[in-house]
Amino acid sequence: MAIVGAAAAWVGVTLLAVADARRGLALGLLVVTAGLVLASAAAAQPPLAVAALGAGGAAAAALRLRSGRPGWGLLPPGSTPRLVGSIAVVIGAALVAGSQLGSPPGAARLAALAVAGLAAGRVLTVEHRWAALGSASALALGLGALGGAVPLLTAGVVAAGLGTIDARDAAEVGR
Amino acid sequence: MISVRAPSRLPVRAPALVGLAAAGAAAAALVLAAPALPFGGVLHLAPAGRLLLAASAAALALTTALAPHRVGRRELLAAGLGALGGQALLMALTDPLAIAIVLLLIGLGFAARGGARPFVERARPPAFAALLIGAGWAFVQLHGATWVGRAGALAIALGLAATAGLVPYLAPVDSEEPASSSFVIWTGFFGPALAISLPGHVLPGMPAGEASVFGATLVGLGLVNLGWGTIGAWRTASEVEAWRCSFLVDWGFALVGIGLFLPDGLAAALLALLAIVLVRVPLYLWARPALLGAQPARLTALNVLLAVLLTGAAPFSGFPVRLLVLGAATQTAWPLAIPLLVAMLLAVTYSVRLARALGSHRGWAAAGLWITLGLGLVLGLAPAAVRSLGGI
Repeated sequence: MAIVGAAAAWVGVTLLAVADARRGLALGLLVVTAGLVLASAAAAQPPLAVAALGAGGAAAAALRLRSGRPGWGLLPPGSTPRLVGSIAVVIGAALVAGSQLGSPPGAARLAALAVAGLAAGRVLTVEHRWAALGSASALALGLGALGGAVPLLTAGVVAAGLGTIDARDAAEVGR
Repeated sequence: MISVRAPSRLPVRAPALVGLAAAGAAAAALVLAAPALPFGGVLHLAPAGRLLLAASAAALALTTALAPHRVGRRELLAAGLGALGGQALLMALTDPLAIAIVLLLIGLGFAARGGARPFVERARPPAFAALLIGAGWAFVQLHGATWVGRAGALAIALGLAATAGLVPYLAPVDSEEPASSSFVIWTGFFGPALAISLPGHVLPGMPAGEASVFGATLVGLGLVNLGWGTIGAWRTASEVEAWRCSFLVDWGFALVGIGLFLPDGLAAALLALLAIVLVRVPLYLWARPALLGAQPARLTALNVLLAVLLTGAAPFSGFPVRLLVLGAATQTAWPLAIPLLVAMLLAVTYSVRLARALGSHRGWAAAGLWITLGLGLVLGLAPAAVRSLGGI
């Protein structure tokens, strides 16, 4: 189950990285959440904290549908480097996790590292507020899944909290 | 060439301001009441954190009431209360991963406020800092290959520098940006909170090799910031940049003090961080009208006294910091004292410039400057009391 969760989280964050519209971003965030919840549950993390992570991630995904470019916007022209980056990040995370990959906690950590790395890369490169906020929610979820009960709980709250921030780009038009 | 840029300012709405202030006040109250709550173990405010929080509250009250501002005092108070709550959480959370996650929320929350630079530009440094601290701590906790743990320790130290907006993560300074959205909020408010709390949370979980990488990185970053700040404050053409560089000098002493892992060094770091919050941030806010050209730069009698304070001379706040850092440096490796001494001497070159940039103030604004000078004097004359209050 941990491997399935880790794979789902990686697919989700890859979707998030190659999405340039609100539905694609929300779908990526939702798949990331599902993957991290599966992997964390398999790694025997406290159920309440895992549920908080799931609820926070789902709320963040739903809130991201409020603003941003309409549509799915998956794999727009110019997204190849992001796709290559998603493969490079998972290889880097596997190198760091090393021999612990065989255990459920190791797989959960690999998923969390891949999510955090790719989501941070997205925050650092996007031009739009809504995309930065969605990616930051994924970054919070990834960092939370690296730890135990407190980080999981905090990540759920913060991911949802980031979803409530005003994502209007109006004032930055023209940049 | 003149570039015209529309500020990324969304209209300031009363509910948003009230929400920010209420969230900040609630977070601070939660942290202070945590020992009596069932989940008290998750939040623990150490004596040094409590002291910095009190200093921040005092600085907020002083600057909101007396400093000259372009923005409304209510807006400033709301932002200040929000920042105070964020600072309390950063210092009280005991898990470095939770600290990194909260840092992300604070960073993007404050970036969403109005500012001259676009949101994404202001959101990047805290997001990167959160990644460095979070992933760094995960690397340390893996207990895998030696290089992974050491890379983690390096990342945490760099994350601290990124949070405070220090070299090598200096963001562009825009003089038109409101102070509450500018570098000051990170270099003068959240950065000190993290510098006080984070080492205490990560060091117990680090093996000796990783702890020495962490300490050496902090000392290296401290020396680089000291050099950059000293030369920058002296040579840069921009007065705002000179003020920012003067923050880097204080941070340089603080980072060297923390990285040496000696009681004198830690005491110096605590005093330097308190001086940033309680003296340098208020003085920068008082200098804003002259920096923006709304007031001429002048050198009055008060400014001369402030120049002495900004030099780090006795009997003001900078003097015990320098004395304690020098003491700690000579205990570890005496050559380390050479760059510290050079930076101390060169402070004379830029402190008069900074003091001139404060301009001349009358009435309550002048009273505020005298109070700030008094606070600098208290920190300078009673370092032992501050040290004992901070639990060092």
